[in-house]
Amino acid sequence: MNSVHRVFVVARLGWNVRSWNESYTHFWPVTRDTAEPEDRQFVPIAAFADRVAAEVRLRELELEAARVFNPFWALGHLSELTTLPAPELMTRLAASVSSLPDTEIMHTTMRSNRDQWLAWWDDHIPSWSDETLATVWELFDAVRFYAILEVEAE
Amino acid sequence: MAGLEYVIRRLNWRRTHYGIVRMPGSVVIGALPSLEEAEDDRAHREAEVRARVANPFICGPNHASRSRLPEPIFCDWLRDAGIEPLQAGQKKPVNWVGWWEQARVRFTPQQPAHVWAGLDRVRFFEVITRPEGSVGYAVVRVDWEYNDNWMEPGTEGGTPIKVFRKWEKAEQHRRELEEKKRHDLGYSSAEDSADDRGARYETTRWTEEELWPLGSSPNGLHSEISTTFAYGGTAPFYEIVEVDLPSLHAGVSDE
Repeated sequence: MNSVHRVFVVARLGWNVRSWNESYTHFWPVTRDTAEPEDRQFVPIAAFADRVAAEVRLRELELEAARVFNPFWALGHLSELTTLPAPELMTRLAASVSSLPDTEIMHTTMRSNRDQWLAWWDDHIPSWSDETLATVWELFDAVRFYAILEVEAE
Repeated sequence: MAGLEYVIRRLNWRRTHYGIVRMPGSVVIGALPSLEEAEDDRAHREAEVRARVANPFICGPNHASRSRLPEPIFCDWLRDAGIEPLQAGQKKPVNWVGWWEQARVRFTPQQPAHVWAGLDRVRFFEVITRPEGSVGYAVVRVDWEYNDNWMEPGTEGGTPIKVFRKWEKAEQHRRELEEKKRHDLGYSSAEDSADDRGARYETTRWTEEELWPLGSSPNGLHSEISTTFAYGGTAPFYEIVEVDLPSLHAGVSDE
């Protein structure tokens, strides 16, 4: 007998990585111009019967992603990295980790202080515990690699 | 109680202007019943990709993305094997890509492997364990979108539609959805499917698979020259992606 259920699928968000010239590479999430509520594209990873288990797995995967992806690789305005205003981001970063760069993140174009923040992330992330990294990653809430979808299952 | 199986996963390296970069995520290549077999398979694949990538220093934008060893320690690591590294300038970073090109002609047969070993973040495959058979299959819709010239599928992913415990059920569902989609688009006969006057569907994302991780563009820059297309109804509208079912009670029936 077939029975149809709903399951919670942890899915990786599609990302574009593309270079149009020899100076830099752009990183940005794959989006669709659609009227549907969800405009992202997903690579399904795992399916769970309950949402809590899916959320636990999502947090593990997001932390793994934070160990791989330096958020300052992404070019663009601060809003590409976080929904927080710059002063609040700096205050909360300072409360979580030490030795911040001298200047706050203005934006992340080639002419900004992006290189300084890129190097800061690379220099400090090896010493951050998973708890510290999770706290820091929470602040960069516009950079996400995983999501939970409710999907039919049979 | 289910035994374990050993899964070989390909890590998500992507092409950039300087070489390649590791992005979060991985793709399941296959599963084998013993760790030894899986490790052999991984090592074989790793060696094949290393031979094509050739220069390990094109992997990642900087030293930190290539090695857990701080750069001075990595230099000591090289000296341990009789390899003399370049010295960093006062302000300029070391040009490791250029150094490799010059130094490798003098390497002994063992030295390249020593360099790769020190670059411990540059790995293309990994082996993980999971309970045997704890997988399902998601039917995923390819989200084609018109870009004013042709239909694009996006560089990866789509919309998961339904998850099945058995691959056969997933494949049956995929085929039904595919046929309905082709019918709705008016591609209902083999003749229509072969018609090259229809919409163009970009298939680069699939055709570049065998060239992973470097792709077909010689300098890594996006180019329409290397873009491939399917015409009419031969483009894929749905695909199947393997997913973990960490618990057999995940709500997906065995039927």
